[in-house]
Amino acid sequence: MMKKALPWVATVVLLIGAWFVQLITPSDDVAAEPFLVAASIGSEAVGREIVVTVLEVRAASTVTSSSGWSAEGTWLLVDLNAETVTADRLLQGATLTIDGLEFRASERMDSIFSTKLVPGIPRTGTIAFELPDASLTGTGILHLSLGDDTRLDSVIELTIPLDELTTSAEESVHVTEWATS
Amino acid sequence: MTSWWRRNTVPLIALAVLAPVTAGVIGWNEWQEYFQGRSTSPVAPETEDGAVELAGATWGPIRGQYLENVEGLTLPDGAEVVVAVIPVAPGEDPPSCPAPTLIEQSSGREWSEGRFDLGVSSNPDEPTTCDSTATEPYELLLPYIVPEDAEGPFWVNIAPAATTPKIVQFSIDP
Repeated sequence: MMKKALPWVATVVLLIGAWFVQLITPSDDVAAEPFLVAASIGSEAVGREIVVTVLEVRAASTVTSSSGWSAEGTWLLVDLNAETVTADRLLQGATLTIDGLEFRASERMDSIFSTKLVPGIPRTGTIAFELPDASLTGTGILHLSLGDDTRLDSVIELTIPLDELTTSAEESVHVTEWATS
Repeated sequence: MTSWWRRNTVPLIALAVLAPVTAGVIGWNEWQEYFQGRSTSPVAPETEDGAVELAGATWGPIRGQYLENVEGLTLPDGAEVVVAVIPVAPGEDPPSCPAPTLIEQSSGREWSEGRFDLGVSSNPDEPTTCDSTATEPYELLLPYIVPEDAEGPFWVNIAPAATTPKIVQFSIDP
């Protein structure tokens, strides 16, 4: 009796064991995940090659830029200072994730998005996100990086409590220039 | 014994030729990859105020200093301007090159030419890139915006298009 049951018991134990191993095995992309650097408003967040200080987060129903361009919509503006560590690089990674939806920074106006950052001398400017109506609720996760491809690179992460933002009628995208300390 | 050497004369000669050829071919292949894979191999002047020959042109001697009068320039707080002047004497085939970069030797931080950021419009008499049509000697004039904590000595790297991966490398300590 015992002899007959043993293989069955062993099989079940091994199957459950395998299921557990499979459950806790990290996925393939974990090995290349970015290194998140938590940021808070007003303090400097230092990554491998990018240094960012988020100054302010604003929400507006109309945004304007210095060139005279303006647009209505649901906008989230992030004012920041940014520099690199060793070489000139473009600031090309800026996404805002709300409720699982990822939005890339707007390129409709001139902003610090996709401009050149240099080592040691911060530039200041604004990154704008154009969002669907009524999406400014819950929590927004802002990710900033130099490249679009963030594998194994640092990513500056800021958690934005969207409900606490007051939406102004009109806000402007700041001109990108050298930061004054 | 002699008969063994004699019997195998042909294979021995073949071996004597093939063995070094094999070593040579494999070695050359590997070393070539090593040199090609290196980003650059700098060619520096023998003395600090010396000149360098590369891409058929004579480069240098370089002059480098901090800009003392920065009035009228768009310069951020806590930044300085390092100006490098490099005489170029083109030969038969004038070289072209992108704007040389400035590298802090202690940290490896690298800055590119900042004429536009300083608010100075470009001027054909003060080029920042090599002119592949110039036959007369001219001088590259390169202003770099660097933070105050940047310290010399710096390298100035010039990468003529035709000589990749060989670059001209000057050292300045303004």
